[in-house]
Formats: sequence, C-alpha cells, structure tokens
Amino acid sequence: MENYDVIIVGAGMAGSYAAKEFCDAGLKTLLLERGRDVVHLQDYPTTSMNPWEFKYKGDLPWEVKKDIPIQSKCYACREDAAHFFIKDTDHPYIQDKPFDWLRGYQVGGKSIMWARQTQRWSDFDFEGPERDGFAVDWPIRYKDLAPWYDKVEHFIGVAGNKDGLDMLPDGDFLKSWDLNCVEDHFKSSIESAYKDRHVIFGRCAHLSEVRDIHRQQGRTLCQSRTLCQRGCPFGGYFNANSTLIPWAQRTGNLTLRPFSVVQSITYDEKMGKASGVRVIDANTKEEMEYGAKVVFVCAATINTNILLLNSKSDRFPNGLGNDSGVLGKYVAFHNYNATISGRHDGHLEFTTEGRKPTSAYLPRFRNLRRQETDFLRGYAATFGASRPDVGNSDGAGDELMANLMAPTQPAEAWGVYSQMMGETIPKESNYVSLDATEKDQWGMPLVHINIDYDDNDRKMEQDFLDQFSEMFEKAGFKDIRTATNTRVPGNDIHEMGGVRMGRDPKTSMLNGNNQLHAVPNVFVTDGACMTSVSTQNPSLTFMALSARAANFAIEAMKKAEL
Amino acid sequence: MERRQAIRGITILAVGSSLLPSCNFTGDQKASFFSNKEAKQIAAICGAILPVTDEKFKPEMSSEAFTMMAVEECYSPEEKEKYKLGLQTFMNSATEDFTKQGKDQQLEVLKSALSEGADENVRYFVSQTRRLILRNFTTTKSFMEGQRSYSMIPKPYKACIKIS
Repeated sequence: MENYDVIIVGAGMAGSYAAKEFCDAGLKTLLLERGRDVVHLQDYPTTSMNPWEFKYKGDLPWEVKKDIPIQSKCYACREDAAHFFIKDTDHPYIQDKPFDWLRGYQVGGKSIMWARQTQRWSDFDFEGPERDGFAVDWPIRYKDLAPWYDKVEHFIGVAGNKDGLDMLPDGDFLKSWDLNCVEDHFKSSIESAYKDRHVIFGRCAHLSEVRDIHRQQGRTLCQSRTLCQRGCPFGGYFNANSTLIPWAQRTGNLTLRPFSVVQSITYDEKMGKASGVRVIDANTKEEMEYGAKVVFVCAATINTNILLLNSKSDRFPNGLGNDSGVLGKYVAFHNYNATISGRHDGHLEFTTEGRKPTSAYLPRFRNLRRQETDFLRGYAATFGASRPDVGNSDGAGDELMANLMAPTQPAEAWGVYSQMMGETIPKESNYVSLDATEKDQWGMPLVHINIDYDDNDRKMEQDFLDQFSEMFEKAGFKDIRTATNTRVPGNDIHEMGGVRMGRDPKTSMLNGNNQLHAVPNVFVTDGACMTSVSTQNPSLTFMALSARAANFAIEAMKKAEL
Repeated sequence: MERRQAIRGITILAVGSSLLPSCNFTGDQKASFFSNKEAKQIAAICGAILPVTDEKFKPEMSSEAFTMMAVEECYSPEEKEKYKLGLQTFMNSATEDFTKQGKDQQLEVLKSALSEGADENVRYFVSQTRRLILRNFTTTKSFMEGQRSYSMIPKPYKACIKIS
C-alpha cells in the first residue's frame, strides 16, 4: 500500500487549495479525483473557437443532450462547454424531490465553469444561526477566517472595490470594472432612498491587473472575452487547473491520480483514527488502498456526504464520525427562484462598449441588523443594466436580408434585471441518504436527495419581488415584470451542509478546524462543512476554510498531534 | 397564387394533417431522414426566406444543409416528428409546387404558414426553419466580422460612452 502524509479526496477548488498548502509545506500529498485530468491550456478544446467554428452553432446534438437532461439545465452547459459536465446517465441518483444535481467530474471540478463570484462572509452570516435560532452556532467567526480570505484572494486574484460595508468585508482587491451609467443611476437612487441598501460591483475572481504572484502562476490579464466556461488561455479568471494544481505539482510533492472513485475512508479501530482510503479505479474498476496520516474530504457537498455515509465500520455503523446522527442532514442551498426585469427609458444618449465579466451586486439588507419580517434571514441580488446593439431580423426574402445587413443600433431602451440569491434554512428534513440496494457502476450506493423549498423561502421570494418592484419604481424603471418558480433546488449549484461544523459533537460533525469531532485526522472543507449558507456565493469561503484547515493540520502534524 | 388562395391552402392542410399517419423516425432512418423531394422543398424555403446572393456572405454551410443537419442531429425524436409532419403537411397541402412558384408567391405562402390560423405543425416547421436559417447566417464569419464587428477579444470595456 502506498502511503502519503496527506490524502485529499476531490481536485476541485477546495481540494486543490488544500493540496497547494500541503505541498508548499513539504508534505507528500495524494490528490484523488474521480474524473479525468484537465491540463490547463492543453485540455480546453473550444477555448479559441469562433462562433462559426461550432458545428451546431451553440446547440447540442440529441445524442449528447438525451444523456444530460439535468446538466443541460445549467446556463454554461452548451456546445462550447458541455464536455466539462458529467453525463447524467452514467451517474444516476434518486430524486425523492426534484433536485438538479449539477456536476463536473474532472481535475479542477466546477472551478472550470463556475460563475467566479467571490464575496466574503461577515459576522452577520457567522452569527446568524445563533441570533436567529436555527441550525447550530458556527464554531468560528469572521476574525478567524479573515486572514485566510486575504491569503486566498491574494493568490487567486479578486477584482473589486473597497466598499466599506460591514455586511460584505473588503479585501486586498485588484481594480474593479465600473458600473455602467444605469447601474450607477440605480445605485444613487437606492442609496438615497434607503439607509442600508447598497449597489456595488460584484467582486469576481478575474485578473483586472496582474501582480507578481499571478505572473508566477503563468497567468495574465483577463481579456473580457466572457468565454470563461471553456477554460481561459490567458488564465484571466481563477480555476484550479491554471493555478493551484500546477503550483502544487512544481513542488514535487503532489501525486495527482485522476479516475479514482473513493469508495470509503478506512478506519483503524486500534488507533482510533482514519488510516487511508479505499479507491476504485474508474476505468478498470480495480480496487486499491492508500494510506495517510491525514485525510481531507473535498469531493463536493453531496459526494462528500456519500463518502462519509459509505465509510462504515464497527465503531461507526452509520457513517464515519456520525456519532451525532446528523450526517447527511441539514442540507441547504441558495434560493434563486425569483427574478425581476424592466426597462429604463433614461440615459439614452449613452451606451457601453466591450464586455465585462460580472455585474452589479446588492448585498443582503433584509433582516440584517434586526428581524423585520415574518421570515428568517434575507437575500442578496445581482443587478444588471444593458443596452445591446440590436439588429433587425424581421421580414422574409430580400427584406430580411436588407434588415440583417443594416447597421445595428443601440436598443431603444436599457434592459434592467435582478435575481435573488436567498439564504435557505438548514433543516433536518432536507437531507441526503444512501439507498440500501441500488448501486452505480462502481458499486457506490445511489444517493437519495430529499431537499425542497419551504414556507420561509416562499415568503422571501415574495419579499424580494415586492422590495425590488419598489426599488425599480423609485429608479424610474418601467414595464416591470416578475417571475418565480423558475428553478428547482440544486440549479443554483450551491448545495451545502450535511457534515456541518459546530461546537457540540452531539449536534454537529466537525469542530472549528473542520476536523471530524470523532476522527480528528479527517477534515471536511468543501460545501458539506457549512453550518448555514448565507447569501454569498460560497466558493471563496470553501477555499479560505480549506487553507485554514490545511495549515492547522500542518502545524498539528509538526507537533505529531495527528 | 393569390394570398387568399395561399391561406385557403394552409387551412386545408390543417384539416389534412390530422389524417396523416403518425411517423416513426428512428433507427436507421437517421442517414436519410429527409427524402430528396423534402430536401428540395427545404432548400426552396430557405432560398425564399433568406436569399443569399452576395457571394461574400455565403454561409460556410448552406442554409438548407445546416437546417437539415440541425433538425436531424439536434432535435428530440418528438421535435423531429413534429418538424417532419409540418413539412409533409406543407408539401401535401400546396395547390402548386412551392419550388416552382415565383418569389412573391413563395413569400405569401410562407407568411400564411406563419399566421395565426395556420396549422400548428406547419407553423412549427416554417418558424423552426426560419430560426435555423437565421442562426446559421448570423454566426457566419463574414457576417459576424463584416457586419457585426465581432472580435473574440473585444475592445476594452467602457461602462458609459456617449452615442455620437
């Protein structure tokens, strides 16, 4: 059996960040990924393709589409990037309630085609469960994570403004893109009408400027191509493939093993700790074991839950570390289920030029400093105003050709749009569990997903629509239209929890350092560890938690405590 | 053909279409999903909807070739069946061979096929064909670069510029 200092399960953002930290510290690290390898530059087949070079001009052939009924619901799963999503028919699961489980099984995971939004959490988020009486108290606060946010942001590169908002702390940002004049108008309108509502430019993991640390990674400026989901030849946005993995490989301490389905974590009853992992080769189905002093589990929320639930022993018959019985439970997600749009007839003498990689953002304001509504928590929101050049494709025959050949004109009015990003409440009734008999082709039990909206979510959706209708009206927007029920849970791709952190081993799985209470050499630092979900896009926080936990483990290993 | 005649033709085919046997387009039929006659009909419709006379703007793949490929390879079996049913209904209902009609007559027929009272399958067939023609044409290199100033790497972003 091969032995390592550390085994990391999952080569997405969280796992790759941990790998970088361990390799930098000189520890022999095995990084296991169930999918294929994706090498930066080499494995981005569509990255430099023009629209006319795609056979189907953006659509997918039915032979592909029929096998990805869930993945194809993702906005990024089109002809140019569908190869980074799994084939649903190869990876079945059981939807006890409708749930879109969107996945990218490859080295780099979903970091290749993520939306790149990187907002920090604050103590309004970490103190939320305790203040509002749900879930359990987070065992950490903002001050515990702040230096790790700094570290991660510095390494990956985050563009943004120092906005001075206590609900969305600042970092050492690269320069931001600018709000356009209608987004600026909305900002002025909202900030003069409401005391605690703000419109900022969303912080995003793009290189708007290049620092030495980015040059060391071989990356250069974001060109605003907005083709990020294909992988970027410039390394203009952060993904694990262009940054963390090659960085870790250069240390000589990383062993990367793709096509490795981790079946279970092995537990040594005499030692009272994990001894390694049992792996099934994804291609040959051969079984093998690897040993390590420390195991990091970063397989992405639901797969991390599956792995722990499937890691049974005499000591842990209900899953590794599951003395509390909460494993798989208290899963939550982000509620993206309401949108609003409208028209702005002002600022018609202006337009924009070029493209930008992200949009404006409204940090949470609802129930922030005190409970104001009959629902718990609140929502952040995206906001965008655009005035595209439009052509005329009316008519038929020579008339149609003449219309198409005519120069485009800026649209008659600006379009404005917002979407909620609501915090859902982790509940015992939102859970994942393993089927007793059905298995996938690698012998892993199929997972049941039992997750749904609740009354709190519905009230929050209505409040978003009411508040944003009011704000849109104050800004003078017209033709306001609202929509709900546009998504089922999972489509937000922000499922979290099931292996939550907490102070009490009786009600949580992990302590404040992301260690299993009952198995201290096993750490979970991906979305599964989240006690609550807040409103912010979570990937930055996963990486900060990974970096923090990895460095805790490094220090503990130096002291021979692990 | 008079416009009134064209509309009458579409109305008749709306009735006729319900009498057509259901089609089963599966398996080996993929290679020859459209018959030669159907392919000629689609080509004529494509030529009528968007006549590309300027060689400079000829698409890399012709409108009819792209349309047939997209329907054959990208549509679900149900969508393909509906498209084919619409095509056959369109062909069967014509009082005059569409491919031999004059430009104006063809446009009248197509306009009627897209009108409110037209048969649902015919309307689907013609509107989908139009959509695919436009998608193909507006993503050609010559059109995107020549008429839309497309560049994979855009000009630097300017958040607010005055329209001159």
